[in-house]
Amino acid sequence: MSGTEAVSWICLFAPLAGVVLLTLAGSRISRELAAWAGTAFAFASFAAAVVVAYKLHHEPKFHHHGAREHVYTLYTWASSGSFRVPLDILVDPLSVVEMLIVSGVGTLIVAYSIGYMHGDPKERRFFVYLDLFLFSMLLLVMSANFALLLAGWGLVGLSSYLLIGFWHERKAPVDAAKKAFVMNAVGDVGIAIAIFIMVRDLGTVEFQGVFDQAGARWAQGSQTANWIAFLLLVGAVAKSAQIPLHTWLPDAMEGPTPVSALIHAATMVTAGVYLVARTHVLFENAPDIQALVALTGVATLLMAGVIALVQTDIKRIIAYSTMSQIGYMFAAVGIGAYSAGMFLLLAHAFFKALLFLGAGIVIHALSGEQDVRRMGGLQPALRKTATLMWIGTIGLIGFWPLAKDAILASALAKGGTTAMIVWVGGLIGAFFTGVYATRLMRLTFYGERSTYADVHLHDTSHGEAPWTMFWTVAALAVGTILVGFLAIGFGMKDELASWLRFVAPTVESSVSNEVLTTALGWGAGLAGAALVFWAYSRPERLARIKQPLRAGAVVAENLFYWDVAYRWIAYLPASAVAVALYRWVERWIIWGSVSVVTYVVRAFSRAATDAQNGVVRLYATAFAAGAAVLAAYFLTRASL
Amino acid sequence: MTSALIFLPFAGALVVGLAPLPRRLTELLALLVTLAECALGAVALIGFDAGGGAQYVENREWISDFGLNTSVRYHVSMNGLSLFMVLLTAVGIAAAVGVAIRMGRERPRAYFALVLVLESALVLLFTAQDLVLFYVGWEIMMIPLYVLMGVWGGAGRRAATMQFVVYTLVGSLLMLVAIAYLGVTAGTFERQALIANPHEPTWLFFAFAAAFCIKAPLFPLHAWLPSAYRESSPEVAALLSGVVSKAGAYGLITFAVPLFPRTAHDWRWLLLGLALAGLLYGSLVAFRQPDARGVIAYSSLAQMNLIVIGIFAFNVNGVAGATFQMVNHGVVSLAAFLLIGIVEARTGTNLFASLGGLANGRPMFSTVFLIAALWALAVPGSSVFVSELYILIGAFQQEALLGAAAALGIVLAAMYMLRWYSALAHEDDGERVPAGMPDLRLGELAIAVPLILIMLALTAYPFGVMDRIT
Repeated sequence: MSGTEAVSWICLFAPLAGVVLLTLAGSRISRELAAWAGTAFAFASFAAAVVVAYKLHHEPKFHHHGAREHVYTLYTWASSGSFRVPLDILVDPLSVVEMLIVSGVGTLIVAYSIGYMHGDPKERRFFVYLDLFLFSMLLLVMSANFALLLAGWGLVGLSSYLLIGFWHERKAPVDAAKKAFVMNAVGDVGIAIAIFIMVRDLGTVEFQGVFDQAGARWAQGSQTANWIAFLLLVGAVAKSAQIPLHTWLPDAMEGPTPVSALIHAATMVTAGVYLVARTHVLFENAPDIQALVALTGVATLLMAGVIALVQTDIKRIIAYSTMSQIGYMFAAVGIGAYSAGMFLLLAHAFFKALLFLGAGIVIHALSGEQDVRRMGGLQPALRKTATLMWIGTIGLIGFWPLAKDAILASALAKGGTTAMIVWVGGLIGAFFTGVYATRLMRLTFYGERSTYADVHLHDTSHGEAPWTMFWTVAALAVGTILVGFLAIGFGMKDELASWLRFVAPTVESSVSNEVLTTALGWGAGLAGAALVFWAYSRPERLARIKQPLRAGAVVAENLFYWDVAYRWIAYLPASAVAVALYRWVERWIIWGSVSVVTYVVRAFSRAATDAQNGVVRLYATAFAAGAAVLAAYFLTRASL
Repeated sequence: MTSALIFLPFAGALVVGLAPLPRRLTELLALLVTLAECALGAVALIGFDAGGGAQYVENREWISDFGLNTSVRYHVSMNGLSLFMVLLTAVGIAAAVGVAIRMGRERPRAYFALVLVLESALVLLFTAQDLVLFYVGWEIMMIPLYVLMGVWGGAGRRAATMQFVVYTLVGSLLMLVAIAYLGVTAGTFERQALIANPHEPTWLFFAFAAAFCIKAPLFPLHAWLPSAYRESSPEVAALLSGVVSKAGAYGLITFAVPLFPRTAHDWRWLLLGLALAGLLYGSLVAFRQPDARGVIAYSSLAQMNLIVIGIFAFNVNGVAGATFQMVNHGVVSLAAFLLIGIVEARTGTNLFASLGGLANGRPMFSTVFLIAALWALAVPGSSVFVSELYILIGAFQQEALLGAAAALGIVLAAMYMLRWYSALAHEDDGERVPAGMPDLRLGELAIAVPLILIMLALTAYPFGVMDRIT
């Protein structure tokens, strides 16, 4: 086992070791120790990821098979003799980027939880679940075959279920958790069926084998090629909360805030983007479906952007903004700009986790209040938090890092109908982003302080939050700033793109494209931001703007009626069918049939033996009858 | 080795049943016998040579002249599937005895003797290589079940037992007739010899399949199932769903299909269609059951039909998945019913409306139930996920639409099992949950933890089982 291999396995299994040890330790260790230990296992994973990245970086840069691309196999996990699933991982630039994000941002968020979850009665369990999530997510991004990928895919869904429903004493989190799991199960089925096709046609689900054979086995644009890409897209859409399988994400905000930051912003929800980038060979083999990826992204980024405008729960605003940002990422990978999409994924992991954790500090300070209408004027009390969240907001609107602009510039460079839809839709979305992101800051930190906030604001004279919470938020802010240099220069320009080149190619774009797009993007974002401060400075201005938009706001407030539609199209019919089957088919036909048989047999037994229908006696009787039949049969055969 | 596995519980049954020992001693003796059987099974597992075919063979004359120049042989052996079914039996019976001891069953000597006879019969039928011997095991298996259900069951036990008796009897008799016909026409009851010379009247296949499909049960032959699973004591329900149902699937794999390969193949669509219907039907009905047992009962129906789909996919992947799923579902449904039994003992009910909140301040309760629920819904990454994946791949290879439709079962399973878990574990304590009810006790953990550990071991290394079974 080479050094890189050993370290890769450590990266994957360190969090699992945490799960096992913390579960076994149970309440024998203190809550504090459990929290720190949970963080330590996450950090061990991050340290291993850094080592792997370093080693990989020092391998020959130019691509020939085997350089910067390693498949490590532990053992055969399952096999039927004809189809085998090894427990193997793929370490290449793409998975290393994901490993760093997952374990790095993951460690920061787990560390933040030490303070955030302090004093919760189930604190220990929380850290077990966080470590379980990290293991699952690392399995997802490190797996070298589709079956293990699906295992990781489902396990992150499980962790998400456990953490959304962490406060299971209340009904809302439990319902939200179930909804998330079931909608993601729909996505799992999509990937599962794609796997069925691969096994049927290729006999393997190893990435390398599938990608090598895909083009030859399934002609580009053929029905099967389209089906495979489409089914993978179903999985991606469910996990990444894109239309139409997106309705679980806002509800998932019932979970503790670190969960929202880790799972529902930085890592898990962007797994769909990773999937498309990882399997881009299959999507390029199905151009129509790849265009569908981009269009799904555009539709989601616009719809979520609009809904975010009217939300009043601080976490839900950020949740819709996440949905919208992932829409950009889908648009990117849908037009083949994989490294631009991965760049936004990376930057988003920082600034969105930053926003969530900042919101967590606000929520903490207000004894759990999440409604922005009951905040306002918090800036003087939460000065540092406000400053850090501004960094996140700048990241979100896209002033810095220029991740969104990289995508849109690629779209402009690529041209064609789909790409132009991405470009235009993305710029419109930039305006929405400017509005909702600024509105969040304006309502939370500025203007007049609400009476609720006056009463409930904790004494913040000795710091806004415990240092364990605060330093992690600051670290994310630093990360947000540093990530930007990957786009702009200082010797790091295009570093990510060249790192990813052979795994996930990108669209080359010209400087003039970039300048134009960035100017327009900044303009749209700035216009949105300015509009918010202008409108909210006087109530009558706000009313004047809102007046003509009333009808649209109703649609947005009802979340475009997706939940209602699902209730009527899926949940209620399924329930009704289940009840009807039980009431009519099961009770009348199935149970009825047994009554008839019972009646006949009873009559037969009574006639034959005059016995009472005691059960054992009946059995003995019937057994004897059977034996008699047998004997008679033997006799007749014998006489023949 | 095989004979020891068959007769150890039987000897135990004689001692337990006849020796006038006090309750405590009887219980202890029964438990020791079942644990010894587990140990014996473990030895057999360690000595088993993967890829070595049938092992631990014992083959001698039993009834030399059965008439018509046929003889019956005492021919027992274990292939991989037999081995794991025997292990499942041993584990299931041990767990059931553990639960019965905790519950303190009336007339313990009779009770434990019957359970041990059941174990003997199960091991016999899972290892028999002679049709008559197999049938003997099959019928002996029924008798303790009838009595255990009819005497120690719940309020509705009489009707439940009656339905069970009638239904299974019809199947058994059909199989008996088929065995007799085969033996007479072929002059042998040996499984291998019969496979070598296929006899193919269509009705023979259906006579065998009827017995097995009722036991499994295949939709729509499951009328006996809901009341049997509801009215039996929890440990008997666990054995019915975990182990006895596998006898049906085992019969299909070991006898019905290989003895009549062409008929089975010709008629596969009938069975596949019914099984697909049963999978979706059972899953939907499970989703709306008002009680914890009802959900597991119908989910058991759905899972067994999924196994039938794997068997009749007629390819390597489907069968590998089906056999591994027999092991997985066995362990999972044992755990589910035994856990429900614990809840019933604590609260006196299994109705969702009166339950809830078991996870509140009861970490072990919540963890153990959670793991059982997750494995039951085949959470990706689990051993059940592996077996379902293989079954569905097999189904898809047989016919794409079949595999895709059966995959819907994944979503439905998530729906009904999460509902099951939430209704038991989440929100406020239910009205029938005693105030301050403590977490799982040591005795309860001793039953639950080994089953959980088995599930985890199967998950870590499914190949350990699949390699030996296929």
